[in-house]
Amino acid sequence: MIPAGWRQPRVVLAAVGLVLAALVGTVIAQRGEVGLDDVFITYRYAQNLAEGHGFVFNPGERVFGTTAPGFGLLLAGLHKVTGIPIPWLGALCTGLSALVLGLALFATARKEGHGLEALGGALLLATTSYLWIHAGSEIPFALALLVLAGLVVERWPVAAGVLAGFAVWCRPDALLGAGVVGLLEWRARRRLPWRYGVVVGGVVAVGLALAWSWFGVPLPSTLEAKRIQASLGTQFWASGFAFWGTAYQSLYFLVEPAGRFAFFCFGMLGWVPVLRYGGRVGQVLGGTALVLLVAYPLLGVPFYTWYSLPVVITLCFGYAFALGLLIRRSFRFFGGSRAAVVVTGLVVLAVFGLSTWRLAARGWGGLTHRAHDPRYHFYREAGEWLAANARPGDDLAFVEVGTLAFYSRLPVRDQLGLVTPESLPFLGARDIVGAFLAKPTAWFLFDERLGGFTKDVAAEPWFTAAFEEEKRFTSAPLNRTLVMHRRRPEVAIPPPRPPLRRDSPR
Amino acid sequence: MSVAGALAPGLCWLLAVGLLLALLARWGETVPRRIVALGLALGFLLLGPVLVGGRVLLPLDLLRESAPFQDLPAAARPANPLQRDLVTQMAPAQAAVRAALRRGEWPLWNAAVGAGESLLGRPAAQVLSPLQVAAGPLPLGRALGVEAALELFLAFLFTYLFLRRLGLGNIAAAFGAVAFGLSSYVVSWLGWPAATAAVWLPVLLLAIDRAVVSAPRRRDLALLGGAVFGVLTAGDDDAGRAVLAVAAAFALLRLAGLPPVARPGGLGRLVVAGLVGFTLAAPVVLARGAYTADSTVQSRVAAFVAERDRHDPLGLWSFDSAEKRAAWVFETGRRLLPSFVPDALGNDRAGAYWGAANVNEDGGGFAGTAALLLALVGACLPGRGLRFREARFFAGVLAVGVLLVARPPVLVEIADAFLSPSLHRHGLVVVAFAVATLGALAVERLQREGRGRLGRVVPVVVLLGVAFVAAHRAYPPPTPGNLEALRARTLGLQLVTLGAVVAILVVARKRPALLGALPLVAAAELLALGLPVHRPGLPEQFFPTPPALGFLAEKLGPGERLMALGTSFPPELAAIYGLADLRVAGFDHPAFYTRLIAPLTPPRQGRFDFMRRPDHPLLDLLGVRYVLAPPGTEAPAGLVRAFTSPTADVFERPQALPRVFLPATAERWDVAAGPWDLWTAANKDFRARSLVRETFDGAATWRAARPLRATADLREVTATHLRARVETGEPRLVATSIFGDPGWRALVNREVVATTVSNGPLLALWVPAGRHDVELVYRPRALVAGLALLACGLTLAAALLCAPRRGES
Repeated sequence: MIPAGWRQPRVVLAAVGLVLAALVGTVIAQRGEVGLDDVFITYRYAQNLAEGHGFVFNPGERVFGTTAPGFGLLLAGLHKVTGIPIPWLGALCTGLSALVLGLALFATARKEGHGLEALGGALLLATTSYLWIHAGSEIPFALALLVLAGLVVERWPVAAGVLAGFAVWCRPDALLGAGVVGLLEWRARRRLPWRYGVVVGGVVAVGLALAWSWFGVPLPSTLEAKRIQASLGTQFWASGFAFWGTAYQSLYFLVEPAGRFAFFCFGMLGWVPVLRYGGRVGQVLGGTALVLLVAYPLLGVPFYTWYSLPVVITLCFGYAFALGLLIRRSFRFFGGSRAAVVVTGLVVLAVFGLSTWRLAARGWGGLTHRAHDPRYHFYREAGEWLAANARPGDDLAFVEVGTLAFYSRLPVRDQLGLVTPESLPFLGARDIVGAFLAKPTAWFLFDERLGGFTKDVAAEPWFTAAFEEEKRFTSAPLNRTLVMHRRRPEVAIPPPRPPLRRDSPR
Repeated sequence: MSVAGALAPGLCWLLAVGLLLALLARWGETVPRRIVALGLALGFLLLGPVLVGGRVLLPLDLLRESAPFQDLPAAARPANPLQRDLVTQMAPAQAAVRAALRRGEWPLWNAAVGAGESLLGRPAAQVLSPLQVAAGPLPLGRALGVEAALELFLAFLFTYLFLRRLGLGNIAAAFGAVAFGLSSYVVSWLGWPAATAAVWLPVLLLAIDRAVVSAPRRRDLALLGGAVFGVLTAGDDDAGRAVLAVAAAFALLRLAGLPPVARPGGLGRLVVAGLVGFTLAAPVVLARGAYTADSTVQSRVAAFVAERDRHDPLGLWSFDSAEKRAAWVFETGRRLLPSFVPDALGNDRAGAYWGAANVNEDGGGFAGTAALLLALVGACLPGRGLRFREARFFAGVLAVGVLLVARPPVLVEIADAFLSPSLHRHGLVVVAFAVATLGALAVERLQREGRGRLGRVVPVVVLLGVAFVAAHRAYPPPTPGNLEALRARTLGLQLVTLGAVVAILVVARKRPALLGALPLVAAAELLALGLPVHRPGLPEQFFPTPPALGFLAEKLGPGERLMALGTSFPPELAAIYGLADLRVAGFDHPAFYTRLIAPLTPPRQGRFDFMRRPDHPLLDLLGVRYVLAPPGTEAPAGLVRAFTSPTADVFERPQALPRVFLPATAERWDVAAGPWDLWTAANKDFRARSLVRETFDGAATWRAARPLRATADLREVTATHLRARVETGEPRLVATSIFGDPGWRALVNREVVATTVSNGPLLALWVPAGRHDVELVYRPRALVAGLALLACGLTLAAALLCAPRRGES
């Protein structure tokens, strides 16, 4: 028998928080600072700011190349104050976000009598590789800010507006979520939440003004880069209807293939009880994910796995809610007797057994396998080698620039234009060689697996004479080899030229 | 044929029907005589020539396409080419079962097909199927008709009983029974395992309805167990899955009708009854599971699903442009329309079809225009009406069935989750049943509440009529004017049916008894469409022995095989004559075997019954002694003309290896060395060198020191047993041309030894130096496990049926 005092909401919440925090802490300790390449772009901005170079990717170049300026500023500030390495701070923020999302949903769903489902979803979220391979991403953090805004908007609309506005600083897509928070508040109180709206608008406007004054543009150049990437076709980046098809493929990180469709179906079915029984938190979470589910294909956004995070997080909670719903309904259906317990157990086992096993297997494998995210180690090794071997004034051209730039500390030209807007006209024309010739770098990295994005340059007739191979890095898990080429300054290469139209990168 | 012989199938059918009705009467399900008469009349109208006319329910006229049978007398009307499988696969498989039973053996292994394969697991064999057992005493040619007539009658009768149990009157229940009993799914698939599985659907639903009550009788649980057994032994996994899924959902619906405290008990009883049915069918179910898992079609579907998963997960990428969306809509129409507007996309029975697959596969959901109309009318009637929950349930079933066929994005994963090549098509059985049931429910509502409802019927009729015409116009024939008469006739039939239903409903407002004409209208339309489907063969066409086959039957030694060039002889027919043919028809045969023989077939055609390489060394390996060819064929190089006749020639291949031989060299197959089928395709002499999974000493290549100082004499060959005498002065590889199914056991001097595989999938073993009696015995694990489960099931059934009732001493 649990003493009555232990069942006080705060005690229960604290206990659940401790459990979740312990779990999240264990995962962070296990995974360390590992992250996806793109989060290192924001890390690099934070690194340069913290080191006094200003909020830039390459010192001296004020390019708005991150979609997470607010998150970058936050990381820089935290790094300055605490001295904790930025990648660790990124991972901690992800863990904190998972904790906030789980606890907030637990607290609100518990009032509706569905706390256990929320707890199950929170445990699933805290242990899923899908979240942790995106450690350091601003998206869970922005989602957590939106959820907090949704929680306080009724009592403290100004604070909610600040939270939602900062979420937009962290991630522009959060504007849709901020709208969802406002709509929910309007629906609940039948009164326009104008104070909240004004504050959100003000915070966003301040952000835009700051960006304009610093970068010269209010919006990240990455938006244009991604629009051009989407136009390259589904063989490079899925967009439109293919967006969620590819997202479904990427559920590989969350659940083994045999249980994927079941997880997807149960997660989708459970979306309804998340909205219904998850209180305001469930509504903000499910509503934001729903809006993004529709918006991304309509906007033609190219697919990157982290874009699907809000939807996948909702699917995790949805899965738990669907399971809870089945248990409750089945138990009630069979009369609530002892026999009902047995029958319900068997029914749940039959319906959810396989997919839950597959989820658990993938989660356990993802968290305990030490060679997770080999790409991070691959690029980090190359970046650290460059940091040790590059000469002062050297720069580098490549197509995946985050980790390399962060660890090499060299100025980097991005062939795909995320942090190098000068590359964009060339990318639009599928002219990767032209993008390189526009500003040739001292180092060129070649990787056959990246297709025409590096092969086109290496296949040029002048390349062999103008560059010499310095070092090779091979990754067995990735089956990739990265070849470092250093420029021979004495050999001339063709001058910059306007973009040439090509059908596609070869 | 004698009169008694001609009448025997009909009499046997009547006897079986009588027994069934008597049994039902004992169980409290009495069937009015006029309903029985209607069911019998429908059976006789559809299968009369088979039941009392001496005809055989096989498209035997198609045999005339193959060389040895070209002199057969022609039937007045050509057979339905869509039914080719019945004569080339179904009948031979069932003949193999009968032959095994006649020999006093278990029907475990079919040595006549390819390099041999499981007979127990072969879906076409339908071993243990109750309907096949019921027709078993008759010869195959007559039994097929009885089995089909029983299937028709079961579908009709149990649909009627189920609908009556739902509270429908005689007219409505008879209407539903006619609509499902003569639905295109049941009629078109007669003879295939799919129809066998389908007819158990109403039996299952009735059994569930009777069993899920507060105090069910044991006979109801026995009926449920029997129905589950019937579905599982029918032999079609896809149709079976669809049927069992609907039954499970219906069981939930019925459980919901019990008081909550009674539901666990109700569920428990259902599970136990279903478990008994499963365990009784276990020997077949387990064997079929192993067989289908290794089949060619399964490997192709797995490859397709993996490919789709890589390039178009969830089918969403097919929607990323307006053109692709329009193409999807067009394709969906090609899959769906034949189930609602027959012949709108042609009919390959009549020579041309421009739907998705063929009219059998695409058109199975058609339960008649009258049922379709009335189902729609029922949906438009105001209020909840009669049996609202059931109506909602079957409307849901219909929606799911249609969605499965349409394969919209996301749902493509459902069929693919089962790695099923045709779950979406055989799911049409539930569409047909749902339309029939919804139509019957609407008839009942119209009968009870009919007055003043006509205002809702007329718009639906107009809408449906316009939809039929629009469907015909939306999918014109690729060749203008093709099948114009047939399409116009069928469209006219549908429109006339619509008119007839409206006329009956109008007149019935004053004379309600006229509603009784509705089942007759439905039957008339479905019979008009169903009659041309089956064009039974003449008795003299039933597998006579042409001279060439007579020669082969006399000359082909034990363990030797034949092949035919091109399409001169369907491969599995050899089984009818007790011969063995290395070719296989269709794609449900072991994938490893079809990989082995692929080099013998024309490239990129993907069929394994069409061969053109009579000189290939693989034929030596597989023991092909004779090659059948059309008359006048030039003797291929290295072959000797052994027999000639006006219909077929036979060539002898003297270099064929015996079923057991001793290769001089064995090379160990290593995955890293590349695919084994490239090695076997390139090998010139399998006696000189064979590929083996493990060598005796573990070396990459093993060579016999004295290759010629060893002998292997074949002493005895039966389907499941082979005995040979091997004498050798050193360890040797005993290679065979038997497919290496894991069920084969090897005994050397009565001691069990390990087996291996050689030359790809063929059975082999290593023997030490000395004189040995080598025995190969087929004892599949699935059979042992299945028999153990069967014993458990029998024990459980006996315990449940014979235990004293509560209160009895």
